[in-house]
Formats: sequence, C-alpha cells, structure tokens
Amino acid sequence: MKKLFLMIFVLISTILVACSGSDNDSDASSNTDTNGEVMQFYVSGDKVEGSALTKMSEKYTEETGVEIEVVDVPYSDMVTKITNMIRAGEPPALARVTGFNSAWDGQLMDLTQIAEDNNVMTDMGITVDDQLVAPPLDLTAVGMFVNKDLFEEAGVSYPTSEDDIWTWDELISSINTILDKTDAQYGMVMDNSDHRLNAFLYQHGSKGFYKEGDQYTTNEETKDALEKFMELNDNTIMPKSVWTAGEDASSMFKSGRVPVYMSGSWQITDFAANIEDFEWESVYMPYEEVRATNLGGNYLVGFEGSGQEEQAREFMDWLYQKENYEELATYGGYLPVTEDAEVEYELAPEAYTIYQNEIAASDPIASQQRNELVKKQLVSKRSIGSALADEVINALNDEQSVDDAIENVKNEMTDAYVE
Amino acid sequence: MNKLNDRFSTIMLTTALFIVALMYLFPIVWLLLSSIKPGSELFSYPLNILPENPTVDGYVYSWSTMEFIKYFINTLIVAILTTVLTVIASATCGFALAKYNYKWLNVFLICMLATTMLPTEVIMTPTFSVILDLGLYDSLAGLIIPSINTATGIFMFRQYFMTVPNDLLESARIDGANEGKIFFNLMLPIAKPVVITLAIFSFQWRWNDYIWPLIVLSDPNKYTVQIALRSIVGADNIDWVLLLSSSIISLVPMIIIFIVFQRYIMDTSATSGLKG
Repeated sequence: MKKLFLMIFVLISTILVACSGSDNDSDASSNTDTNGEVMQFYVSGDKVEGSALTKMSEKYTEETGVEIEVVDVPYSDMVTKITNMIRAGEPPALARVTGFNSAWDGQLMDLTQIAEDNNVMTDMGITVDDQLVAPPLDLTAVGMFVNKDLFEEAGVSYPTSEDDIWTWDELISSINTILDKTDAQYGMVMDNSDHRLNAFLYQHGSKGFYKEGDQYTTNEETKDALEKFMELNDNTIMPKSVWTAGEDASSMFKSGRVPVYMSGSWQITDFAANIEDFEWESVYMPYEEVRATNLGGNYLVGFEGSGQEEQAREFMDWLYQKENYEELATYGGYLPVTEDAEVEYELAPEAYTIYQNEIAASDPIASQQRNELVKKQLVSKRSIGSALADEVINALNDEQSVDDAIENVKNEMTDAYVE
Repeated sequence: MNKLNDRFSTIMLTTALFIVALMYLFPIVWLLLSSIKPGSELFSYPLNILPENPTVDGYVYSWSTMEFIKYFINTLIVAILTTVLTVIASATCGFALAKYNYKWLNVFLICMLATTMLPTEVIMTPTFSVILDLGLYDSLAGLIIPSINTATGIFMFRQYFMTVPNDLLESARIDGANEGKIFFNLMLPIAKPVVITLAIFSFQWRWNDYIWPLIVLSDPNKYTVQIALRSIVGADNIDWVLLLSSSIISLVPMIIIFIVFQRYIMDTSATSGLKG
C-alpha cells in the first residue's frame, strides 16, 4: 500500500514537473514568436460572424508566411481581458474591440498613416492627441425589420424606397391596424439597449447628452421623446418585459408574432439563415424631426510593447487594402468603412443597401455622439456603462419620473466625464 | 394496517421522486431536443418540444468550428491534477488537525474555516497578483496551484478522522507503525468515502470553473471548455445553433466519467450518508 502511494506521489511529481517544463517550453517558444512567427489577434464573436477574420488571417499566412492566430474571446470579457494582459506586461499584438479602458491610454499604436493610405473613414475612428489610435474595422447601424406576412395579412404597407419614408405616427397607426386584424401578440419590440434608444431619440430631434459649460445637459426634445417611448411601452404596442425583465426581443421577432423589430444590421445574417416560417424584410426607419440611425461596430487596435509592432502594422495595412477588405466584409456581412469598397453580400444584399442609405441620410449627431462616448472610455478615469437605459428602466418601472431619469443621466455623465 | 401504510408511503415517495427527477430532466431533454432542431425552428410559434426536421448539422458545424479535443485535454489536465493534489493536501491536513494535539492547531483550523467566508471573487485580485509575480500567468499551473487548497476538503477530512477512535492509532503505534505508515496504510483507506466524495466535488468544480481560467489564460491553445463555450456568445446576437450543440458536446466527457465511476459515486453517497 505504501509503495502504491509512493508510486502515485512520484508519478504526480513527474507529471507536475513535466507540466511546468512544457510551460517553460511554451514561454520560450512565445519569446521566439515575438521575434517573428505567430502573432495573436484578439477578437470576439468571429465564429458567429462566419469566421471572417480567421479566413483572412489564413489568407495572409498563405501570401506572406507570417502566422496569425485569431483568438476568440467572450464579448463581455474582452475589455477586462486585454486590460489584464496589459497589466501583465504582455499586450496582444492586435485586437478588434468595441470598448476601451483608460489603462490602454498611451499603449495604442498610431495608425493614422495606414488609415490614410487605404481610404479608411478616419472620422469614424478614435483620435487622441492627433493620433488615430483606433480606426474603424467594420460598421453596424441601427435599423428596422418587419414581418412581411403580418403586414400583408393586415393590408398595410411599409416604405420600400427613400421617397416615401414614414413618420412614427404612420408606423404606429399601421401597427394598430395589424394588432386589430391579425393575431400579432405585440406591435413592435426594441432591444434593451442605450444604443437603440439613442437612435429613437435622435429621430425625435434629440441631440443626445452633451457637455455645456462644466456639466452635461440635453435639449427639450429628449424629454418629449422619452415620454413617447414610455407611452409606447404599454404592453400593447411594445411589451414592457423586454426592457424591464430582459426578455429577448430578437427571439420574439423570430417567433413571427411581432410585426416590427428595431435592432440593427448585425441581425441580417442570422435572420437570413434562421427564419423560415415567415417573410421578413429590412425597412427604412420612421422619422419625427430628422432621419437618424446610430452607428456601432468594431475598432482595430494595435498595442505598443507586444514586440510585434512591425508585423502588426504590415498586417493591418494588408487587411485594409481594397480587395482584401472587400473579401472580409463579404465573409462577415459587415458594412464597409473604406471609402471605395464595393461589397457583394451573399445573404440579403438588398437589406445592406437600405442600411447604407440609412447611414448616408442620417443626422450627423449619431456618429459624433458615438465617437465621443467611446473616446471617453479611453481618456476618462471612469466610464459609465448604460446610464440612459438603466434610468429609463427605472422610469418604466414607475420608480421615477422621466424628468428624474434625465436629471440622473446628466449627473452621472457630469460626475464621470467632467474633470 | 401497517402494510397498507407502507404501500401508501412507498407510492407517495415514488411519485415525489418521479416529479423531482422530471424537473431535473426536463431542461436537459429540452436542450438535447433543441440542439437537433434546425435554426429556423428554435423560436417558431407555437413552440414544439419535438423537432419537426431533426438534423445533426449543428453538431457537424460545431465540431468543425470548435477545437473540442484540445479544450477537453486542457480541462482534463487541470481537473485531474487539481483533484489528486487536493485530496492529498486535504487528507494530510485534516489528519493533523484531527489527531495531533498541539496548542495552536485549533487556531489554524479557525483561520482555514474563515477563508470559506470569503468568496473567490473577493480574493481574486490578490491571487492574480501572486500568480503574476510567480510567472504563472497564462499557464495551466496557474489554474491548478491556487485551487489545490480548499477549506471544505480539509474540514471534511478532519470531521471524518475525528470519528476514528484514538485507540486504533494507539494500537498501530504499539505495533511499531510510524506516522507515515499510519496515515497511508490505516487512515487513508478508512477515509475512502471522503476521498471519493471530495474527488468528485473537486473534479466538478474544476470542470465547470469559468471565471478564474478566464482571467489567467490568454493563449487559446490553453483554453478550457467553459471559456471556449463562452466565446460563442457574440456582441449583439448569439448563434444558438452553435451554442446548443456545443453545450451538448461539452457535457459528453462528464457523462462518460459518470458512467465509468457510477458505482463509486453511488457508493459514496450511501456510505458517507451513514457516517455523517
């Protein structure tokens, strides 16, 4: 018995030693990587988006021999992860991100030259101290989907070209007709998100929350729009459960019982593949004061101190080149960020056209505000998560008035962003 | 009369058992059935339990996108090594706490028990700093070492060894056995139920661990199954087809282990229950 235990003990120690030995090996090999082989590219959701970046990285390896490993990190943990890597003194060479942390400030490579060489829309990137540290890699936009079957059953129409864009009142009266004539459960759903709500606010003439003097404020239209949003959440037109209880708006639309869904371009590939019970279509969003969408999408960043800055630069330059970028956008179903790209989408190409028109016609407030807010994450010590959505949820739960909600958002932003 | 009562209670208890078993089974069966539905049926209304056009495309897709073999090997290395080391560390420590009579031992015990009051999340930052300074960041050893010591395990062994009569140790000592021999040849075999219980718990903890591997690992070649699964959830939408079939695949090794060790697992609960 004692022998047996001794043997187990020896075995374990051997395995442990072997294990730590292999760790040393891999450390050693990653040191050599630094001098010229595998470069790591951190992304999230690449598998969901048709492995677009993985395919492009493989193509790059074929052409140049430089190996790139695409690391798929859970979306909600991306910022934490990279912040930790920077803390450990081992930043990745490249990353595709949607959010930032102040710990990254000063660690990002200046990519101005690469972006200018390849006609990237630099005004959609993040510029700090005249250095473009995060050019856009792909673009998403808020948009609207309709259930064509329900619209036809009720005999109501929706705009099919930019000449007859509808107003919110027209949309709501169409929804009411559909609710009367069909067995639709609710009139419309909107994702529980700041981003979608902001598009709604802009369409109603709001200028968002902006800095005036030494505090954040907003215009009168924001309040009117929020009050309207509260009215729509009456459990007939919009179900309260999506915003207050986190019910999944996307699956409600997919069930075919909701005629209108306000979400964004990232849903197109999913809907094209996974909706078969009814016909759906991307439509132009209604307006009240102005036409507006809200932009989103990923930024491309490279880190100083990875030891692979030069290779990273070369890869980014390659990726933004017209023909490579078009290929990437086709695989991933992305809206392009370079000025001359012509992308041929495989799934639902007409839907992408609508989004492109929607962005072109949108009030400039959308892109300005988004960039400013993202930049704040990088340069401010604190950042606020989804202050607007949180406060609106409290208002929807009758815990506070719309006025209080607006006041709270102003205060939170002032506290976080005013030095 | 007595017989009737017996039968009545047997029926009632069995019914209760069936209801509880169904409650446990239902989500898993639903997950399994959903994973063989094509994407278009997942959210259709009215919702069907049974798939109309069953397909294994999801599995093929998921197996080709995710490198499961690699993730399984990583997770198994971590889970097995941690489990073996945890059992050895807890058993020796529990034995000392139960059977030696030094002045400060109980203070140690209290200190160890106090650590159970701190959730892992609270001590995560200091632990991470230690791991970082030891150069264990981004290595499987960084997952294994901090997880070896568990107050729960030590406490389980201590309580168990307390019930072993001291006379047994005394007679072994009189027969000329040294402390090492007593521990390995006498105490550890007696404590087999605890060893197996702790091993099963520890293995499960490590298999399902998510937050710590997420922080420590950055190289995708060292990813454990749970992190790999999580990376399927995208920013604004989720690929349900991929997620459902991958979740099922990730369950398979656990089920195999259960089938193989079923006898011991069942045995454990019975004997440890008696002892309790």
